[in-house]
Amino acid sequence: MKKKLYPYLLVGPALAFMMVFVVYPMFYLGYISLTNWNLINPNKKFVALDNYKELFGREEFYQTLWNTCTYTFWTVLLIMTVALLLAVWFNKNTRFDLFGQLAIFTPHIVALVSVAMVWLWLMDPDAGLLNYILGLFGIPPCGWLQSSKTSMMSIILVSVWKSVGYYTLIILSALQGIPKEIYEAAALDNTPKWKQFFKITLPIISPQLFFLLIVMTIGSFKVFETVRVMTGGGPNFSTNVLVYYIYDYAFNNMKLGFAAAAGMVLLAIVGLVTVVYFKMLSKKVHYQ
Amino acid sequence: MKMMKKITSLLLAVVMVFGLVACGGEAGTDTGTGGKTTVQFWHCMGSNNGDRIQQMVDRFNASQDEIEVVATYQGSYEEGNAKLQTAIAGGTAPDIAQIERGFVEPYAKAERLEDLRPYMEQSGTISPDDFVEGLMGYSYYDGSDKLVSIPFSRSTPIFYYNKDAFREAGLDAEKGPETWDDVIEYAKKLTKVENGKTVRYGITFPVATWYFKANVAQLGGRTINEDRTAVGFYENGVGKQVLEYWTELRDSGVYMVPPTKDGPITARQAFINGEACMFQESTSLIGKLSESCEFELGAAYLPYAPGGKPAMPTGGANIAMMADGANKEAAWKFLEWMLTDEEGCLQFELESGYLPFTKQMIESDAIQTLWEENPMYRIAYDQLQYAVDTEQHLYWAELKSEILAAEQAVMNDNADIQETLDKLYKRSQEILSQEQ
Repeated sequence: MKKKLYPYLLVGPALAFMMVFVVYPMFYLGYISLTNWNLINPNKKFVALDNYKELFGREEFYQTLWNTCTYTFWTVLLIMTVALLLAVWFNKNTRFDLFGQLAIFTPHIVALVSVAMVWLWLMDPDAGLLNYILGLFGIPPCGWLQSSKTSMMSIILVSVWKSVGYYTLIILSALQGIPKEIYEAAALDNTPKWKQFFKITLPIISPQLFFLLIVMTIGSFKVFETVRVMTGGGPNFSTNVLVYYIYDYAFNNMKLGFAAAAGMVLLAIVGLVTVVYFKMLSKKVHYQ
Repeated sequence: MKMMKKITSLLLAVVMVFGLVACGGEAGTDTGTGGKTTVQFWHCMGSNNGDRIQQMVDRFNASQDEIEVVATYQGSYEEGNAKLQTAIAGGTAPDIAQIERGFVEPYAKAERLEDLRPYMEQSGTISPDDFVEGLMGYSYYDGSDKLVSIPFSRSTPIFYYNKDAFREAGLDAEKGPETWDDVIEYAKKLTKVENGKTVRYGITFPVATWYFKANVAQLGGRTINEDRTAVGFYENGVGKQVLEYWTELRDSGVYMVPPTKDGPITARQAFINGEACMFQESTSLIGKLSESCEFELGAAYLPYAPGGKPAMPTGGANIAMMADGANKEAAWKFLEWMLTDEEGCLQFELESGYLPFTKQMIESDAIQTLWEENPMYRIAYDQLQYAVDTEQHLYWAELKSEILAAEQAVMNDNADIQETLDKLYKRSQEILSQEQ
């Protein structure tokens, strides 16, 4: 009996923590999404599925979902590719590589608000540096954050620039964990470099890449700060993403029930993505 | 190994317990130091104005020894609003809060704001009739039964211009443009193009709902119609006229359209640097612009539509006593002091440049001297006779973001004005028909 109880006792505190700060809020969120509560109203009126009906009847909600998916797709794809390439490039520990690692990591430690300030200036359609450079090559100026056509692309650009260094370092540490003997053996067999990359490097670091993929996808679905600081969801809702939408409805429009319904949708999407990833990819991931 | 696990889990448990204790440590500040009653005052003024509020609170605390007011900065109007909501839900509401005017309605509806009428009647030092009428658009609830908030940091949009640039372009520097036609004409004369690049714009102002509301009101439209069923600028064609005026300014290349985010800061800086010669912004900037502009600054009433009339909305935030507050009597003492003492709101309005809002303040020597020294402040106040506020509604915030999006669609993406307004009108009907 004592032996059986002991493990539960050990995980007890952590479990209690999870219950209070994860499980309970999750169920409470579900409950709020069925009411018309707004945080300040003393009464919560039960409205059944009205919030969901309203949510799914909203054109802008689908636009928000689409924006979030666009953002997620491009940031994950770009960060993954660029970080992998950079990691392979900087994987030699020469002075240049160390400098490169440092340089690429720097944006990650700068506060997002300051980063946003600099990019807001760089992307200014009139006085910004980017349009000036484009002009040197005879390319017509871009609207960047000022036009619905390019605003999402601009946000993605900043997000990728900001976090690519962090992911490069993680992949780099994975690369450095690969035993040198494998490459030496491959070299003896005259295996071409690209084949070494696809047949040795990628399979060995695939667990790390898989982990990054999940973390990045979920993280991108929850993008908030960049949007809040750089566009406030505009122009014309073109950069409005799910979490910003939830925040806006909960605290500015003061419709917490409606925001909670959107929160439940986010929860469902993130949950679904994780399950799909595990089902599909776990088979192809190589564990040593 | 087992030992290690034990130690780690113990450590974790300890950390968690401390975490919980730290979370619970903030509540329970009803009685402050030395048996004084503590009054929590949440405000949304950063930097200089935040210091001015702190100084005002210090003056009050020094003036008596029963009440200790604690002023806390809660971020921008929107952030402050978010925190106030969570505080109310969590049972830790302050006694007095500064609330952006558009957010007052939901709090009043939820009965979170104390009716100040009984307090005023009891003390007899100030009455609801003492307040400046034009600023009271957000103060009453249930008709005029309940006085739920009073003006505090309030302003109106005003028209600033660069007198030096006016003279250079051969315009009358003593008078600003009177109508929209004048604005377009002046702006064209003021705009300078060198090598195909505009080096100086005629005008700039943020693409915001405030100026849109002003222009709508000038044409006799309303932000929300009288029946409160939809926007009040669609069927009468007023909204279209306003957006046509804006797009004409933009398409003539004389209007520097500021960015979506931080537009007010960019526009202000462009005006200060002389990159734009006319500028619509809050009257609260008079002090700052007088200091920072190296050219001679002019201010005028907001130009109105040809055939329209002068009109503008008011802006800024009110203060309210929270119904959940623990020390209402003490909170009222502080409010009363702010409203009636010369070292209270009067001094804050003088320093910050926000509008004086009681008749006593207007008549005071300090305000009269200020108006003589800097007539722009007088213009800001006189303009109040044309103040119209027509958007008090529980769902105003939701409608506001739709109006802003429509403005951005037209100004940033060059969307068709009629189509955009069709969509906005339909959306406004949905928003305003929600259960109240």
